Amino acid sequence: MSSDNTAAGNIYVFNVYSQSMSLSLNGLGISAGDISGWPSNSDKTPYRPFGAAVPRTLNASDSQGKFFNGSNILSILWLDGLYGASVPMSGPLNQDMLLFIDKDSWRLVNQFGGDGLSGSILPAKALEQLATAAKTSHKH
Amino acid sequence: MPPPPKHRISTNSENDFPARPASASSARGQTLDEGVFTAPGKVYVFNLSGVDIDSLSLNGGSAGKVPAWVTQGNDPFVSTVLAVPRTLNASQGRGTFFAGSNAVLVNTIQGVFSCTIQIDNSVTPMNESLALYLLLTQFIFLRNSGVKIGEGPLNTVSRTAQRSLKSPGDAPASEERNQQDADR
Repeated sequence: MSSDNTAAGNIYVFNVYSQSMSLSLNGLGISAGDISGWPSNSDKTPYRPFGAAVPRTLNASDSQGKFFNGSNILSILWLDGLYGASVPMSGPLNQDMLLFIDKDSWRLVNQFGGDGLSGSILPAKALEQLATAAKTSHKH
Repeated sequence: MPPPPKHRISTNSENDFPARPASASSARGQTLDEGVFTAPGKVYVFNLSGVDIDSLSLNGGSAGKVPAWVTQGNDPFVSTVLAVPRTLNASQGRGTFFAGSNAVLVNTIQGVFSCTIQIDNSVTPMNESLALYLLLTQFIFLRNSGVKIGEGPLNTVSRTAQRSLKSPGDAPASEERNQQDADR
């Protein structure tokens, strides 16, 4: 079997927004660095999203700055502020997948564009409110 | 495994706004700026899938094809784009996006899908370009800042409905525009 079939795949993360994105995964920034916002109108292909390849890994213990098979915590820093999301990942590790992140939602698809999952991107304030609400309900 | 290289989708710099071109009208001593800042924007339609869009139909006229991304090479999953003109009135809407409710048909090998794209001139003025991202089963419609102005499902169009939509001699609107340009 060739090494291509056994190498871990990547999650190609695309920033579908006009502002540069600083992405942290499970507590650590991705090794590719910031993902630029889309090019402006002067470009031949404006609005084409920039992307970064992020490695996949199996275990949560190895998941800082990577995607593991489980619930991944994303921290997204735009000029507009800090945002967060939880993106579940599963399936064979050697499969590439694509994650499109716009201002208020994310979409995860396979290499053909199918099998889509989606969810919300929440501002940090909303996350704090959710956490506070959860703590309050836990006390009661 | 070493970390993968940063995956640059485009090498062009961001925030590279064009310099204001000299206006022919101001050169003639006129105060109105004709054509430069009043030029209509475009809607950039991206195919975010591995399936070719064989024909993108807008308001009954074909705007063109949008190929699928490629999965191999140095830049896999680079989305392809079709720039479609914006127009003001529904009467100009065949093969373009006009200010109103636009009927969109996406023809692929997997079938024909439809959605409606609303453009409100009071929100997005005519000279603003917009971005429409077509996934396999849904669409996202954004302003040039990235603020979302629409999203929804791509609905499957039945074969019966497809037959009723086709009419003989229905020339693609993009070809009509080319012919009009050639006539000038």
